[in-house]
Amino acid sequence: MSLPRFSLFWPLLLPLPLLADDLPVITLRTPPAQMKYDRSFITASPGSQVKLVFENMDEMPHNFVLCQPLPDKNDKGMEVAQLAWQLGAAGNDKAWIPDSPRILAHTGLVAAHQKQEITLKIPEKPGVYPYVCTFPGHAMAMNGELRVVAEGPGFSELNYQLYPGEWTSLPDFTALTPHRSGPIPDKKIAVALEGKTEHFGVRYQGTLHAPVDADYTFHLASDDGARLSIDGISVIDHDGIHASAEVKSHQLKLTKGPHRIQLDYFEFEGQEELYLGWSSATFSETPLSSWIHPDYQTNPTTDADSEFTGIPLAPENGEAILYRNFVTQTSPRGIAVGYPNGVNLCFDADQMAPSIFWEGAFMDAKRHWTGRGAGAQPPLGYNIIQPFPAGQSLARLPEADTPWPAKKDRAMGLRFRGYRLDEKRFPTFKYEMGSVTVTETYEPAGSAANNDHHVTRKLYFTAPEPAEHLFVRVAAGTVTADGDGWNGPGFRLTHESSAPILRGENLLVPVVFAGPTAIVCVTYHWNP
Amino acid sequence: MHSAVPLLLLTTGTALAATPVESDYYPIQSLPNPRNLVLETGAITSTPDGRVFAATRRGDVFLIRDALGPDISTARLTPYASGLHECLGLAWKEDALYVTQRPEVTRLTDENKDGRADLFETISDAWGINGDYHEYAFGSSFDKEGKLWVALCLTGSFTSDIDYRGWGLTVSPDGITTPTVCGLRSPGGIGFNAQGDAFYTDNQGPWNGSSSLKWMKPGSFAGNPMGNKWFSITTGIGDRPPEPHDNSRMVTERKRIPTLIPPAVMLPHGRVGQSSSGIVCDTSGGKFGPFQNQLFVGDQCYSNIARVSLEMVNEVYQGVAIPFVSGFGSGPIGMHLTPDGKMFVGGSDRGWGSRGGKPWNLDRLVWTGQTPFEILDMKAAPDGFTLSFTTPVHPETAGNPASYTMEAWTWAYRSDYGGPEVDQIIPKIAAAEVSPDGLRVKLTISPLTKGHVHYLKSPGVRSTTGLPLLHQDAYYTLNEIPLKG
Repeated sequence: MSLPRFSLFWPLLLPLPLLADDLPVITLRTPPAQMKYDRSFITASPGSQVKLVFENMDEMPHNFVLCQPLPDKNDKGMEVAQLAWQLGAAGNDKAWIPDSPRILAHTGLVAAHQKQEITLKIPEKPGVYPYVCTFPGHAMAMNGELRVVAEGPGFSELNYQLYPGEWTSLPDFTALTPHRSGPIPDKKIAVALEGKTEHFGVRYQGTLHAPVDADYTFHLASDDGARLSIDGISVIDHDGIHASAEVKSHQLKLTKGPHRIQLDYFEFEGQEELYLGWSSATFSETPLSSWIHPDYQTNPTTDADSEFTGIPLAPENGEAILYRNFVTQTSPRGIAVGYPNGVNLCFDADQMAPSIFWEGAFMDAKRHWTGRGAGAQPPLGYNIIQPFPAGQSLARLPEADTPWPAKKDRAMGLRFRGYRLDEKRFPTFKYEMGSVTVTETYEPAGSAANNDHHVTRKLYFTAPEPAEHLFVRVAAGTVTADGDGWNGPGFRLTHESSAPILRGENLLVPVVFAGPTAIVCVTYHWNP
Repeated sequence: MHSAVPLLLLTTGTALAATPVESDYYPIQSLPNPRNLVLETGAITSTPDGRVFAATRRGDVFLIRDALGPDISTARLTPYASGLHECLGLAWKEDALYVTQRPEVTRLTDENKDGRADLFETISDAWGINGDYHEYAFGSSFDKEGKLWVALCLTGSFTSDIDYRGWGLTVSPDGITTPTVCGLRSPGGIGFNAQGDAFYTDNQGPWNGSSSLKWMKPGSFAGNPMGNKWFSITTGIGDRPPEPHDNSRMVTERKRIPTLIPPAVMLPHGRVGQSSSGIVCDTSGGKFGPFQNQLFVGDQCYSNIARVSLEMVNEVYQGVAIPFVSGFGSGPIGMHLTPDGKMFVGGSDRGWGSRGGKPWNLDRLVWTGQTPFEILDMKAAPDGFTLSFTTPVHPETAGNPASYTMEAWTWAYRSDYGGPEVDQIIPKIAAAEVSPDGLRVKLTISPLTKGHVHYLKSPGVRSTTGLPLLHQDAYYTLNEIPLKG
């Protein structure tokens, strides 16, 4: 890994110096090539201090910016991210931290595979505080919420009895002899006892102290079955084999003081998960288990259909992702491709040409995947380059003054034949022009961290006999020669095959056959 | 769920209760989806070795293994392909999966046998798309000649702004694409009857008073003239038909326009459904129950399936639509019947609401082996209709004309959106004659009206065991009155 251009940038607004190791630690990571934080929410108590460890496992730089919420809606920090975007060229030097009173705390811009620790002073006021990565193009996918909640008490004591056995519903544990039993030291209900993951059951028994006479709500989710009893009465019965997706809740009155809690649980096969929490008018839902359900504390201000929520798509597992749909600056047969290193492009299968390239996040599918899906969607990332206007990229020009074909709905004489995905799911497109077959591959390279993203476009031609007068348009408009390459709006173009020639507004690479084949290869570099 | 005494729930429901319900015969079984995959199913198919594929509106294709056994919970979904554009057709041929998606028919092959497709070959993209969400392409399975059929929606509700919107095309596996039928409006599904003729469902709207099932007879005009402008670029099916007169009737315009084919079966809007969709034919040889060679037509809005039995009279198809099964979780779109008689039904409510209330569904419908008491078939006669039943009728009730009622009507054939039911008639049921075996009833009706839907209701009919019909409603579309019974 080369040294990142961005050094660790210490936040100017950091309220406190790094502190002793005895603060609670919250770790937030950015998984590789997923354009998201690994946690969509973190929780903390009002007025407390925590140590936030921000670990960037991705190939791109990211930051963490904690924001004051808007009074009336949860904008997921988008307003702050927008301000960062407007920093423009000055953004890098400011680690994309804009000047905004809404920013409560932030890390620096943490380069790929680096981490940074900051001490967070949690606000006194309970509520939902958005955090967001303000690096341009990341915010829609990379956001989450700090939930500042008053917590209720946990178990004052908690014991378990472990029973091995294959059940598809809860057995009568009283009729069985426990394999092991004992206290659970951290007093949190945990499934992973004694290392068993299949074919077992557990009876948990503990004591909870109700702070006052009041209504309390218990929340239970389990994989597989579980049953909660309080003071000897079954209150939530969620028996049988099932996943933990559904949280069952039940409200009841408890008098001030201790209450006996008994949770019976069994695991047949596959995943094993168990969540128990409780809440009341005076404290928010407080987990009583070490595993926390994803729906825990679903906050009413989080509106799935809010204008700030998207369906961001991102490459995963080091593979490219494809999205065929209506994409802006592209004919209706768009095939957008997101590569794992943060390079993206859209291939126009009506024109047999790349329509646009961009950096950063890939696509937001919300427009097309909600409602009827009308309209064209712009890229989610940034630094969009469009080397030439919409239209075909391959044409036969018999004479030196033959004009480039005007754009039509579909490129004349070209026929799309599909694509093949390699082991990384990178596509090689294929199309035909009469007897000439073209396969077209894109090789993304560089990284945002090094500010050297570029993508190489390779076209392989095969024909029964050398085809003449074929040209590939690689750029158009304000293109100027510069040393061994050409500069266009937002990009620099270099060539690895025959040299481009400028004909009028179009920069064209002649297709020179050597026997039955020809290669055209050019590289687009984003301007640093 | 908080009950401390769940035993109460276990004391009812064993065999058939006093009044049978659809699920006694055809229960809906949901495929397990432990990862909460988004299954906005647009198309389903299966392979000879028992794999099932489902493709979605979001452009994913899922491979489903072990979906044909007695216990649906063994089924496992894995991603097979993604990034496609609104998949609404699936077919399997010679180790490859053919997907009809918005822009093209694509052949998917898993060359490295890792369980995911890696080769996506464009077989045909010989139609235009303008960027309008309405420009859907529904694809069939392979027909008896080895071709796929593609039904192309208009650009919007009213226009055909780019080539072949509003047409049906055929596509051979080597990509030869032939415009074959014109006059489509808003297809919702495509399939074949037992004879191998192609049909599609068309939705209520301009020139469609109601949703219906239409025969894609090669060279014919299905009734919506908006796409007929594309006769300017194809000569394959002859000359452009004359424009239909607005606010007319189908029977009237058929006399003027020789290639105009009336809907084979109307699916009366607001009665049978509201947005007809997928089509499958039961060619399982009895494994799916008593309705062999009949068609099953989904309705995206009503979240149900109707059963259709066709006959050909005077060279056009016509027949009866009878409610079959309701209660799917979302709006059926993709449907498929496996050779061993299991029907897969999946759908979505996105953009157009469905009664089911869920955003998507992927279910299996199986026959329990019990035969419901149903009208098996309804055929036109010169002076009425002949009903056949799945099990013998009780002669006294079925032989009493008062056990039946009938109404008849048609729809205006017009350029406005949809249309009211018009020209209502109450035909008289003069006689009901039960066959000696109790499996047939001949109804003598007066008058019969050519071009009208004849809606038969049979509330008084009982089986020999005293059961009422599981479905009492039958809607017969009488395009032609036969000369011989």
